[in-house]
Amino acid sequence: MNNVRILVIDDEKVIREGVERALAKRGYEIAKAEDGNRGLELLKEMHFDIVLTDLMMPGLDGFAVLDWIRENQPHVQVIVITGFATVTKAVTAMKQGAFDFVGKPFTPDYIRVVVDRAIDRLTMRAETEKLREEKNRGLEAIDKSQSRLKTVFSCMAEAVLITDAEGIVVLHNPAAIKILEIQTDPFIGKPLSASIRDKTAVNMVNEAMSKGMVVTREFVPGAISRKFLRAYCSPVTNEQGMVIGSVTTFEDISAHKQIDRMKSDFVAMVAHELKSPLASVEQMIYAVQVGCEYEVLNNCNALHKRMTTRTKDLLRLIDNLLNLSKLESGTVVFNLEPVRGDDIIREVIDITKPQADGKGITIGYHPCGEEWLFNIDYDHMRTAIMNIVSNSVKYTPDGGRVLLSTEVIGGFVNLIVQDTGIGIGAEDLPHIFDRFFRVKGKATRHITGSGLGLALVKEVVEAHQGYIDVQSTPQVGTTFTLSFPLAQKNGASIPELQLNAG
Amino acid sequence: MAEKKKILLVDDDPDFVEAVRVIVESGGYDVRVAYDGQEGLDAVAEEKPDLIVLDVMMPVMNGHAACARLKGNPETAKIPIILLTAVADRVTTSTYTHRDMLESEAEDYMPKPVEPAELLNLIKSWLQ
Repeated sequence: MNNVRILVIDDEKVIREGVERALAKRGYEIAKAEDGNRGLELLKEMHFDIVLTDLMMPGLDGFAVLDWIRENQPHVQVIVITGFATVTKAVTAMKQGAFDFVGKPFTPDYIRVVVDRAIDRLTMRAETEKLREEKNRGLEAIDKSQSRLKTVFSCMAEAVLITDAEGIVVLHNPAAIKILEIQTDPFIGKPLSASIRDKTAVNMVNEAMSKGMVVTREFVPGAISRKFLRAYCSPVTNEQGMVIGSVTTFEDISAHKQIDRMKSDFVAMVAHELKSPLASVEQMIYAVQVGCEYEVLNNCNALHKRMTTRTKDLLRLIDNLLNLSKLESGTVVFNLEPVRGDDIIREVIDITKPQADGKGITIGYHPCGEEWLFNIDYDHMRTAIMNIVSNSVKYTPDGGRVLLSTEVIGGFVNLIVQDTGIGIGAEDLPHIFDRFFRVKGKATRHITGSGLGLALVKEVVEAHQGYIDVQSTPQVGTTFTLSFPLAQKNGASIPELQLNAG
Repeated sequence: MAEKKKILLVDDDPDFVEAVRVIVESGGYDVRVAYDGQEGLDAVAEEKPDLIVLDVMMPVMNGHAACARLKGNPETAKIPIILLTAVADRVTTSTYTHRDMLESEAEDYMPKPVEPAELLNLIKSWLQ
C-alpha cells in the first residue's frame, strides 16, 4: 500500500513525536494533533488511513474521536493509545470499533508492528472491496444477459418451442402460441401432441430426437388457417451425447409462398402471352409454304404483312414488359424537368396522326386558355400520353373522332382524351390497367396489342404524383382523364407577358 | 366432280384462322370460319359442316363447351371435331391434351401450331 497517511492525536508532545520517530523511515505521511478537536479538523480537511489517538485528552477525548470516525469515515483504522492503568478503557474502545491498541509506554517496534497490522488490514480490505465490486459487476452482467436473452426470446417473430426427451413442452415464446395457434392452457408441461393437432410438427420433433439430427420441414399446420410454416427442429444433447430434448423454431412463410405463387403465375401468363402470337406466326409460316406451293400469291402477301406485324407486336410486348418491370422495381431514374403541357400534347398528336389518318379518324385539341407546366420525365410522359391517344385511335371505328382537351383546376391540370370508340363494358373497366388484360369480343378481335400499354401508363402517371381516371359507355366512347400537379411557376421561366400574348 | 367437303374453322385469333384457312383450302376443302364457340355453334346451325376444327382457348364460349354442346345435340353429334390446343408447354401438351381428350367427346386433337400435312391427313382420315 503506497502513501499511507497517519494522524497521531495525543496531548503529550513526547508521545506524538515518539510515534513519528518510530515510523520515520517508513515513508508514511504523518500528521499530528494535540487534542481531539484539532484531530477532527484535520480528518475533515484531508484523507487519513490510520489514526493513532490517545483516549484520555482534555477537551474532546479519544472516544469521541473514535465515534466520529466510525460515523463519518469508517474506512479509517483507529489505534488507541492508552496507559496500562486504563486497559479496560482500551477494551471499551475496541468494542466501539477501534482496530487495536498501544499501551503506554511503548517501544518503537511495537508501534511499527501495530501500524503494519493496520496497513495489512487496510490492504486486505481494499482487495476484498475490489473483489466484491468485481463480483457485483459479474452478477449484474449475468442478470443483464439473462434479461436480454429473455427479451429476445419473447420478441422473436419466429415461434420457439423447447421440449424434453419425452416430447413434453418445457419452454416456448409468445410467438409459438400465435403461430401454432395453441389453445391448450397451460401449454408447458404437456406432450406436444396434446397441443398441436398437426402431426407434421409432432413427428418432426420425434424424428429429430430419435435420429439425433436436425430436421427441416415446410407444412401447412391446419385446414382452417392458410398459413405456411417452415420448421427447423434440432435435438439437444448433453455432454455424453445423449438426446435430452429438442429446440424447434417455426417461421411463418405464408407471405413468401404467396409472392412465389404470384411470380409463377406471372411467368405462366407471360409465357402464354408470348406463345400465342408466336404460334400464330408459326402457323402463318406454314400457310405461306402451302400458299406458295399452290401459287395462291394474294394470300402470301397478306400473310407476310401479318407476320411482320405480329412479330413487331411481339417485340414491342417484350419491350413493354421490360419497361414495366423496370418501372415496378423502381430502378428507372426519372429526369424531371418543367415541361410546357402544350408542347408535349402537340408532339403526341403529330406522332399519332398517321395512325388516325389511316382510319379516317380526326384528332382534335382544345387547350385551356391558360398556359401550364408540369414536372415530368419527357420521354416517359410522351410514351404514356401516346399510349392513351393511340389506344383511343385503335379502339375507335373508322371515321370517328378523338378529342384532347386540358383544364387547370386548383394546383392540378387535367388532360382529357375522349373518343367515339367502341367503349369498355362495366365488367371490364376495373381490369383495364391490369397487365395483359385485353377486352375480348367481336369488336376487338382484329385489334392487336400486348395488354401492357395501360399498365405502363398507370405506372408512369403515378410515378409523377398524378392519377388516372376512366369513364366509358359501350358503343359511345371512352374518356381518359390524366391529372398532374402543376409545376410551381417561378416568374423567370414563364414571363406573364408571354402568357397574355399566348 | 364431287362437291367440296365443308370444314368449319373456329379460333379467336384472326391471323391463325387465316393461316389455317389457307392450309385447309389447299387440301381442296370449302372453309368457313368463326371466331368464338358461340359463333361456331351459330355457323353450324346455319349450315352443317362435314368437320369442325375447334380451338380450345376462346372467349365467350371455349372449345370444350362448344364441343360438349355439339356432341349433346343429336343433329350435330356425328360431325367429327378436331380440337386444337396450345394451352400447356409443348413438353406437357401430350399429357394435358390426352386428359382433355379423355374428358372431351371430340374425335381428335392437335397441338398448335398445326403442321399442314398432319392436319390435312387428320381431316382426310375423319372424312372417310
